[in-house]
This record gives sequence, structure tokens and C-alpha cells, in this order.
Amino acid sequence: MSKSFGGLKVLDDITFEISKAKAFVLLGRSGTGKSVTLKHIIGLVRPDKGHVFVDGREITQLDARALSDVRKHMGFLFQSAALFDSMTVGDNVAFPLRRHTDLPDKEIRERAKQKLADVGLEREFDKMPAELSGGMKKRAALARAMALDPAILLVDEPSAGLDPITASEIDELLVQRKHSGATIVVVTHNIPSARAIGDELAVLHEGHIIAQGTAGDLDRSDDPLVKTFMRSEAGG
Amino acid sequence: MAIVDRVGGSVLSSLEFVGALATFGGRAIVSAFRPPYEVGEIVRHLYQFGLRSMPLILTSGFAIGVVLSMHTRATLARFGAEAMIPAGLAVALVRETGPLTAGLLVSGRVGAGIGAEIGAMRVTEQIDALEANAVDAFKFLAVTRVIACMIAMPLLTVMMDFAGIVGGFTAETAVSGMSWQLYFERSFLYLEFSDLIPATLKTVVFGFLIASVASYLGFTTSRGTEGVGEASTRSVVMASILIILSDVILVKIIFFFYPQVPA
Amino acid sequence: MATPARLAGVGVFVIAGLALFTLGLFMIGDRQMAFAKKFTIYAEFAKITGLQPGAIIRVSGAKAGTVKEIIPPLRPTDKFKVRLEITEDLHPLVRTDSLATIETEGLVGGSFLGISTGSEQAPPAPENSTIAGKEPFAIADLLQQTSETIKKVNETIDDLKGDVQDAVQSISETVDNASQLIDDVSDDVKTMASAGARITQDAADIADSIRNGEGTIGKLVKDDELYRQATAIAKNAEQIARDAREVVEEAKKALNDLQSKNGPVQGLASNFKQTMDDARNAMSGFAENMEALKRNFLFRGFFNNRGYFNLEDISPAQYRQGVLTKDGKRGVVRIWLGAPVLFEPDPDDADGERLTDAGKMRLDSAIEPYLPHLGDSVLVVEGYAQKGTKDEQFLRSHARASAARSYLIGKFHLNPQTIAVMPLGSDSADSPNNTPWDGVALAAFIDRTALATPRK
Ligand SMILES: Nc1ncnc2c1ncn2[C@@H]1O[C@H](COP(=O)(O)OP(=O)(O)O)[C@@H](O)[C@H]1O
Ligand SMILES: [Mg+2]
Repeated sequence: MSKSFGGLKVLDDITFEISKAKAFVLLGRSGTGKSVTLKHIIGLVRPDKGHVFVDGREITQLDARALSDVRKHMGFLFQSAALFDSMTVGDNVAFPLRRHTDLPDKEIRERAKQKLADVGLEREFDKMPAELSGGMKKRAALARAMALDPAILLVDEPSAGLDPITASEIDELLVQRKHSGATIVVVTHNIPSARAIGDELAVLHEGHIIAQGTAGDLDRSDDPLVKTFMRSEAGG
Repeated sequence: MAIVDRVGGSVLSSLEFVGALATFGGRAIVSAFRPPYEVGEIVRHLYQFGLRSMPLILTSGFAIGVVLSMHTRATLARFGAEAMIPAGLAVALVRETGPLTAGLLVSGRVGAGIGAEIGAMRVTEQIDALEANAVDAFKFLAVTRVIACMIAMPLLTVMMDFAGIVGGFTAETAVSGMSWQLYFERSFLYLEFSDLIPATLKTVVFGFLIASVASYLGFTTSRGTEGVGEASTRSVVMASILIILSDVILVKIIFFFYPQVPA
Repeated sequence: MATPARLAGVGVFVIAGLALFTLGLFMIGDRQMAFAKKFTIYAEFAKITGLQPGAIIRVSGAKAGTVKEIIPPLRPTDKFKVRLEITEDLHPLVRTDSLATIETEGLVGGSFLGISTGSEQAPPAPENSTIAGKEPFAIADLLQQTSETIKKVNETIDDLKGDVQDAVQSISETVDNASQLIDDVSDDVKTMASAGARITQDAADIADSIRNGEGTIGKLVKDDELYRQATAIAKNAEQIARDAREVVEEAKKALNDLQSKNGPVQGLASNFKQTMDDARNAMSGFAENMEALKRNFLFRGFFNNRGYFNLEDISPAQYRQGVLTKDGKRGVVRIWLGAPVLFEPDPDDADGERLTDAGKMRLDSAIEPYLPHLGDSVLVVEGYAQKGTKDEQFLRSHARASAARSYLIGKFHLNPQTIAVMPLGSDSADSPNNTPWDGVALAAFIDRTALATPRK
């Protein structure tokens, strides 16, 4: 799969496969195209060349309706959180439930509250996104991404801007999701959490995947870049 | 040569803009007829565009009524035709002043809002977030605004017309002490269905243009916060120009169907 | 999200907007009578003078509907056909003999279509029938007419002035034994010449007031009566000019005859007298028309400013109650003149009467003492008649008073505004010896201050 923006070649013929109910961690320096790769998986960005298969279906070939059906089973945490700032935090989390379930409103509110409690934000239910800090926004956005308990969860830098304790709580949450059968793709700079969550890790550099395997595999890599990466304790 | 290139280039880019806008608007119309109808969002925007615009529209309409009344009085009094002030004012308001001013005011208030809001949603990935949540962002954001604006526009125009009549009455009664009942009655002396209905309904087109242009510019925003400001400003500028241009065409069309025989 | 408060707000907004729109539609519909039951008729016009579809229809002044369609003629000889929709309520007034006219609401107003109430005998105009249309005239036509009249009168007067002067001069220079004739001629001719001059002045004033729009232009209304009067004035002016010319011709002839001293002086003199009478009558008719024109509301403001008195509006009942003396400023003096002296049966009109020559002389002598006061006083010619039914009494008393008045106006060049007729029928309250009076009475309402210091 390849992707360019203008003259800039961001992804140059990368190939990888993610197993069901496993956690896949995408590592790499800033601006190497990790977020772009993640967006390919949910069809927000289309590749110039190549294919993206989700559950055996070719995402790039689907029409709007079919793509929408696929997306209903996916959750996406944006690097920028991307909370809808016209709605309260609670409504943001309830949004996917309101759109895609027939649950009564009371039930939806309860579930949304529960999801916010999972990320430690139950008291922020009625606040507007603008009243939250960056880390809180990220957690609220994660609650929204997980609102429908999606089978595939795509998270872009979940622990950026979080204190180590909250970060590890988030990691724990993701692991829980994985254990309940969800496939998880995580973009992160945080090596400890990558180690904690990841079943398989990949390092993206200059449009190529330069290393792929378990944390142990990567530790043993003799690529200097990979080595530097794995040695840094908290991402940069 | 450079000038020719530049002029050619700007002609081309404005043609491109019109083409893209037409495609955008056309898509909005087509997709408005497909479920889901996003009634909740339409209501939310109607609240924003309609109810929240009322203070602006009513005060402006009132002021315009006062000013127009003073002008018509000056002109008509010269012919000893003061009795025609209410009718003259109402005809001017209902036929053109009301619709056009309401259109321009709404393009300022609502157009800027739409451009900025959707632009901000674009640059903060909220539009992507909608798509990721299996929501048709175009429909959810643009179509609902276009529909709400198309509904709000004629209603605001009628309110503007009436606010203008009340303003005209206030100015008139201050001078001549005319009663409201007589003033109101006389306002409709020369108004025809063919004045009120087409002039009011043409603002549906204004509403469509305002919301389409602003949504389009919002959707195509890039370059972060700076782009948001630009989307907002350009929305107002483009919507105002399009309103005035379309008004020329619409008035022509109205005259074609309801010929105005010179008195 | 659509919270209940927001929904309510949107509800208020939408309902308010729709309600105002509906109100607007209703007001227009109400004005157009869109909601009333209507019937359709047609009217035909050769000229539609700015009438357009949607114009208001008034039946005897009442708003009745709108002009729906104007169908152009197919041939030059055909007329425009105008389709009218009129509210059923006013159908009883619209008869087969109703007349449609195109009128203007003020000078700057749009045209509307007026329909006159038909007569009782005619059936209501059936659906889709065509009623007669009276061709409109434009204010421009009237102005044109007035200008032409003025021109014509001016020319005549100019022509006459010289002739009259010559004639009068020559006559007075002639033989003494014709002194009686000279008196008659010179007085009459002078009167006529000055009447002509006044007519010219009035006509010019009217035309000026139309042109300059002295406060009247906003009220300027297309008015059939006005048109009729203007036309009548033009006709009268011509008549006077003709008569005056004839008088002058006769005078010249008389002069020649007298100078030659062998002509049939007596015969000529009576012939001449007849011509003078005709001229006088024409003049009084003309004066009537001028008066009517002055009363026309278009010029009312104009003439009121010049201090004219509107006697015409006083009813016999008001007169009897003493409206003219109420303010105490005027005193009344009556001269009673009996019918047997004044009138003889009119050979041209079986029931009618006309003034006898003796009657004319009687009138001349009766009015003489009051002539110095008439400028600032009011003269009322009261008519009395005892024969026949009340109606007949009224009509005869009116005819008598009118005949006397016309004669006096013509003879003494009185301002028609200051002399009125008052048909009092058999009610002769203050008559000499309280006998039921038959004839007329000249009631002079004279300013007390004027009486106290009589003029020389
Ligand atoms: N929509 C876009 N338009 C143009 N360039 C883009 C777009 N999205 C990403 N890029 C570019 O692609 C490159 C990779 O971006 P990204 O995937 O966000 O990097 P990261 O690995 O830090 O997540 C960057 O150079 C960025 O400028
Ligand atoms: Mg990124």
C-alpha cells in the first residue's frame, strides 16, 4: 500500500497483517505516517496504490453504505481527540450509541456514563469539551471510541499528555478490550505501554516498515534506529 | 502576458469555484431526500439560524422601516400623496428591501457561523470523527444546515417585512398621528399575492446559497486556524455576492411569470 | 441535540413566521376580496388609460373587486374588453344600465374602475354580461380644452374691444334724437365687454391653477363634471363672441342708418334690442357655467381663497331659519313683485312662463336702490307660487326665481356667487298684508355697516 500527499511520499509500499483479537503497535518518529496508516484502516484515507482488507473485505472498494457498516464495528481514537465541541462530553460518548443502537435514551446515558467512568471522567459528563484538558479530551475520545464495544479499536497515541498512572490505566483498559475479543491497533511513542499491550510491534520509518515482530524480536534487532527506539523508556 | 495569465487564471479559478459549488449544492439537494433525515440536527440549526437571528432581523427591519418611511414621506409629500406612504413602504419592503436585506444579514450572521464552525470541525478532525463513527458528515453537517437555512430564510424575511411596517408606522405616527389600524390597512393597499409570495419564496434560494457556500468553504478548509477565519470571511463575501447576483436573475424570473405593467 | 427548550424556541420561530406570512396573505386576499363570493361581468373601452389587471373596482364608491383581465381588441374598430370580478354583495347595485368608467385616484394614484349604480327598473347585470363603458378623458385633455377656450375667448375679446369702442364712440357722436338707443347700446355693449374680460380672467386663473398646482394637484381628480363644465364654457364663449359680434354689427348698421337719416330707425331699433337680449341670455348661461366650475371641488380651494360665497348649499329650511341673518351682521330688505306684472305664459312652453318686458322694467327699478350695496351683500330671489300641488308650487316658484335671477345677472352684470334663488313654494310668510304671494321677492341681505354709511 502506498500513499502520497502532493509531492510527499508518506507511505511507500508497506504491507502488514494484524491478527484477530491481538494488539498491534505501530511505532515510529513523528511525521512518518503512523496516523495516516491508521486512517487507511478505517477508510478515512484511501491509498494511491494497494489494498486494505478488514475482515476479508476490501475497504477501498466499498460503497458509502457498506463502508459505513464496516465502520460501525470499529472504534477510532484520533490523535487530536476530535471531540464534537458542539456537544457535551456525555453526548459525545453517547453519540455512537444514539446513532447506531435503538436503546432508550436512559440506557444510552447510563452506558455513556459507564464508559466515561472507565476512563476516570464520570464527573465530566455534562461539561463541554472546551472545558477539558488535553489529556482529559483524549480519554473522553477513547470512551467515545469504545462506546459501542467495537470489534476493532484503532487508537492514535492514547497516552500522549497523560501522567504515567493514568497512562497505565488506559493500557489496562485496552488490554481488557483485547481479552474480550477485540482487535486493537495502537500508535504510540510510549515503549513501556507498547510492551505492555502489544502482541506485535512494527516500526515505520521513511515510508517503510523497517522492523516487525514481538517486543522481544525488536529488542534483538540490530537496526540502530530500532535499537534507539526500544531503549528509550518514554516516547519522544 | 503576465496579466493575461493572471486574469485567465482567476477566471478559471472562479469558474472552478462555481463548478465545485454547484456540484456541492446539487449533492446536498439529492442527499436531502435520502434517509436518515437528521431532524434533530435541522431543529438545532433552525434554533441557531432562526430564533437566534430574530433580534438582529427585527431590529434591523424596524430601523429600515423608519428610514424608508422618512424617505418615502419626503418624496410622496411633494405630490401631496402622504396617504400612500404605508402602501409605498410596504411594496418596497415586501418586494425587495425585506428579502435582500434579510438575505445579506443572514449571510453575515449565519454564513460566517457555518463557515467557521464547519471549518473548525475540518481542521480539528471532527469531520473525520463523524465519518469514523459511520455518519455521513456531508449530510450531517452540510445538508442539515442547508435545509435549516432554507426554512429559516423566508420566515425571517416575513418577520423583517413586518418589523419594517411597524417601524414605518412608528415614524409615520410620530409625524401624523396615524392609527395603527389605518396604517396597517393601508400598507396592503397596493400589495398583490404576486408581490408577497414570489419575493418571500425567493429567499429560499438565498438560504440555499448561504448555507451551501459556507458549508462548502468550511468543508474545504485547510491550513489550521488561519484557514477557519478565511473560510468564515469568504463565506460572507461569496454568499453576499451570490445573493445579489441570484436576486437579479430571480427578479427577472418573477417578472417573467408575473409581468409588471407600468402604471 | 434537540432539547425541549430548543424545540419550543424553534416552534415559536416557525409558527410566528408562518402566522405573519398567513396574515400578509390574508390582508392581501381580503383587499382583493379573494374570499368573498364573486360574479364576473365585462366592460368595453376604446381607451384603457393606464388601467391594469389587479386594479380596484368601485361600485358607487364602494370597494367591490378587481380587474381580472384586459383583453386587447383584434381590430382597430373593436374595443378593449375588461373582465371584472365583483363581490356578490354589491350585485344588486350593478344593473344592465350601470356605466363603467376608468378613474384615477388622485394625480399620482393608480387607475381604478368605477361602476355607477344602475336604475331601479333595469334588471341586475347577469353573470358574464357586458355593461357599457364610458370613455375616459385625461386631465391633459381638460387642460388642452381649457387652453383652447382661453385662446378663443382672448381672441374674441381683443377683436371686440376695438369694435365696441369704435361703435360706442361713433354712436355717442351721432345725432341726439337717438339718445335712448345710444343709452341702451352703450350700456349693454360695455357690460358685455367687461363680462368678457372677466371671463377671460377667470378662465386664465383656472388654467394657471391647474398648471401650477396651487395646493390642489394632490387632490386633482378626473372628474366628468369638470370636463362637462369646461366644454360648456368653451361653447358659451363662442356663443357670446358670436352674439357680441352681431351686436356690434347691428350697432354699426344702426349707426350708418342714423347717419344717413333715412333708414327705418324704429324697426331697426327693435331688431337690435332682440339681438341684445339674446346676447344677454347667452352671457347669463355662461356665467352659470363659470359658477358651476368654481363650485367644482377641484377649484373650490382656489376660489374660496378669493372670497366667494357658496349660497347654493343653503336649503329653503335653513333659509327660513334665518341662516343669512343669524350672525347679526346683515339686515334684510324685501321687495315684493307680483307674478301678473312679471310673467306671461311662454309661447314655446305650455306650462312655462317668461318675463314680460314690463316685468323686466319692474325688476330694473326694484333692484336699483340696492345696486350700490350688492358688491358686499347677498341677493336672494325668492320664488312663490300658489297654484297646483306642492310639487308644482315648488317647481314654478323655482322657475320664477331663476328667470328673474338670470335676467338680473345678465342685465346688471352681477356676480352669480352673490345672488341665489330660493324656491319657497306657497310659503309666503312675510308678504304684504300676509296675503298668499304669487311671484317673486327680491331679498337683499345687506351689511348693516354698509347701510349705516350709505355710499354715494
Ligand atoms: N491530509 C493530509 N494532507 C497533506 N499531508 C498530510 C495529510 N495528513 C498527513 N499528511 C502528511 O503526512 C505525513 C505523515 O503524517 P502523520 O501520519 O500524521 O504522521 P505521524 O506518524 O506523526 O502520525 C506528514 O508529513 C503530514 O504532513
Ligand atoms: Mg500521528
